[in-house]
Amino acid sequence: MSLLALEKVTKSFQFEETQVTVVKEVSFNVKPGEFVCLVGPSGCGKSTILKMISGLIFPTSGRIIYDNNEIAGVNQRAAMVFQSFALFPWLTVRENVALGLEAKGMMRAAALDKANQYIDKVGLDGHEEAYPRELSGGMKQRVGLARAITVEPEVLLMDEPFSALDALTVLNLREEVIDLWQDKEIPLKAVLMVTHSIEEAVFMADKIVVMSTRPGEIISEINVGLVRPRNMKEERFQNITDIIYSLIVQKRD
Amino acid sequence: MQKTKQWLSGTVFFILMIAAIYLITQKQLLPSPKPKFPTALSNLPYYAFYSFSRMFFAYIFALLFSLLYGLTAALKKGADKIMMPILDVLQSVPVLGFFPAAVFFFIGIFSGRLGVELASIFLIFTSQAWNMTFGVYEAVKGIPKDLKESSLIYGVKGYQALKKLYLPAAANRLVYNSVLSWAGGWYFLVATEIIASGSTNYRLPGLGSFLVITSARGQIGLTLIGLAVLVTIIVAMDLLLWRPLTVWSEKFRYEFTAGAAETHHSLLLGLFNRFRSTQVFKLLIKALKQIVYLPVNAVGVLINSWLLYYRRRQGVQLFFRFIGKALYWLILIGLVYIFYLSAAALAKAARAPIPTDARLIPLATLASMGRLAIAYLISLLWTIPMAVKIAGSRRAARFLTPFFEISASIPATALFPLMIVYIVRYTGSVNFAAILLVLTGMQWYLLFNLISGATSIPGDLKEVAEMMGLKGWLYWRKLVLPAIFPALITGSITAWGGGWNALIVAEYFNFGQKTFSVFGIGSLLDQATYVRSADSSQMILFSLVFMIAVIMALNRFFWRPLYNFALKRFKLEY
Repeated sequence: MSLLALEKVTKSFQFEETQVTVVKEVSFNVKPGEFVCLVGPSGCGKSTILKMISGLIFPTSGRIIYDNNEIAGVNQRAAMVFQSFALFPWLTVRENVALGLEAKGMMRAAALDKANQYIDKVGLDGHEEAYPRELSGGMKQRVGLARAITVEPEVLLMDEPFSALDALTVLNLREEVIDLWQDKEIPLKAVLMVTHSIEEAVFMADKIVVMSTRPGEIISEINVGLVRPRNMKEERFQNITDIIYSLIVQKRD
Repeated sequence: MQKTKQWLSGTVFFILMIAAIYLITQKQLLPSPKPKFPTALSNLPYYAFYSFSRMFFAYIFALLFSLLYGLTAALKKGADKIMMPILDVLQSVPVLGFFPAAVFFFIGIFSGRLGVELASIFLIFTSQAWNMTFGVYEAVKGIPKDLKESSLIYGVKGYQALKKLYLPAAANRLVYNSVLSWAGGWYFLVATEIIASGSTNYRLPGLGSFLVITSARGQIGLTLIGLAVLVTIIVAMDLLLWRPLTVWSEKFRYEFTAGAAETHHSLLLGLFNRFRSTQVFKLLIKALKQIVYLPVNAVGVLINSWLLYYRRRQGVQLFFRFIGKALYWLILIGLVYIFYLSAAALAKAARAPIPTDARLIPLATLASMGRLAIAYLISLLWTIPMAVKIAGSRRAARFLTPFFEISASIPATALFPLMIVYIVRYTGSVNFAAILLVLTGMQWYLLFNLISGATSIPGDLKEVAEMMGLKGWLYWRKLVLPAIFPALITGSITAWGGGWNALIVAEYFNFGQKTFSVFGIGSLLDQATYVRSADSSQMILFSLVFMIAVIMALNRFFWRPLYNFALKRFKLEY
């Protein structure tokens, strides 16, 4: 029983005179309780897939089934974390996090209250009244995370959430995301994360969907099956990483 | 310390300017018979030629001025502390108010037609030059430090640096601001021609005066043909000169400052894109390059080799140093002398009895501000939703943008005669007509600033909002309004600037025998100019000074703080 299923999803765009197929006949599914990573070189349509799942754009052909229904509009049970953070620069941390609740019709006071709770969860207590420009990159992305989980989505979509951050910050944030994922208080059913870092995928995911570029097609699906917390130095970790590397390189040649 | 110095140079300049106006307007104009103005269609090409020539000469002067002034301010150490506040004063002054003074001045030196022509060219020049100068200054100041350092290390100096570093750095902004200045120039060209045709002593034959006189004589058909000719010239200039130049100058942008200027080529975009790939276009670009480069290069090489040759001779070096020193002292003495003259003139003005009409000035300014405020609110009401609509939908943009750009490219002043005729005929309210005229002088600044503000809302912010289900008032309050706020303020500042100028033409409109006027600072100023009496020059002086003081106070104590707040709080960068 899958929560989310893509069935032969194809997406083409019209660029001036030519038709470009960005995603070609992609099929995979995400089960409840699964952390799935989409891995592939840049330009393989990973982000396009996330946008289709969130219901911002629609497939040219094929279907996306969410909880037995085909997606026909913005998916209210999903939330997104952006590579660029996409925070509202004129709102404080707390207002940013509470915005999603306000949009759902919650009263402002209650929304701000609930926002506080999730700001604490991502370790930003004390920064509630700061503006995004006063925060470091890592802290901004924590706000992005808090904003996403505050609306208590079933699926968390993450679009290269760590690509704009420095390497040390990334190491910390990866573990914190895993902690949030394993936090029983958060009613999250699944995570779908897009990344171009193979190590990151192997470190975080239960299942990795490997893609090729132009057009974006699925090369392979790999179940990671390592216990958490994972160790990047471990031999089995390295083996899985190597397999994915060779898959991608082979496809390119 | 720095601040006071800037204040000081601005204020001193302001006083000098006032005094100069006073001195100039004290001269009496000699009455001369009003020249005839034939409106046969066969005369139209001449009128078009006259108008275009005025624009052309004014632009050439503006170009030279902007390069000289802008480069000096940017490159000479400490110069900008004095030069930029002066430019700031000049820019915030409503140019049209100075037309009477300019006419007096130039007729005083060159009597008759030549004087009026020069006054018109001077006025167009003042409407174009400041904006271009700011462009040059900011572009040269904004050259990345490592680029400047690397040219120092490689020993690029003098003319070489000018050609390889400063001019290319300024090219993009200069072209971009030239397009704006050129468009603004049409507005003022037509305005001066209209103002001149209201006078009893002189006249400026041209498209603008053709429009006024034909509509005053009820020859509406001819007015429309005149308008069509004007629009054709404007569009042709745009397609044949400004678009190619803009595209050419894009290559001088640094990669890392890209983004802000993406919306350049949208007028008749499709047509232009097709045109762009043709052989004709490439040839045109090549020819333009040659026209610009050849003389510049020739002069540059000459100066360079000449410098190289003479630099080694001590005598010549000493001679130039002496010339430089002498010039410096001459300018200083000249300034002191002007200052003395100004002080004397002001003292005299202070001693003279204040004209009885002068007490009307504050109330008149208030009335004019009221008109501006109403026109501003009307502009806001339609431009904000329109800009957001255009930014949000590609289809709306495709249909509406060319429409608005063509409408905006018609200088609003050219529509004044027709509008006056019809609005006053059907509503009977000159006040309503004046507000509408001011509106046409304000709205486009707001619209285009808002469009660029609204299109620069980042896509992912819009996506977040969509995913959250942010709708209605909440969507406007949390996303749209904050995001366009800086653009709104910039647009408002320029719109008010345009509005003050429009007032001068809108509040007092002379139509042959008939004169339409409403009570306001613009009409006081115009009246003092046209209906000469003993205290006319004092009235011109007082009205101008009061109006400029109000405008500068508004800028400094209202718009500037608001602008700073907008930048601090609502800037889109993270």
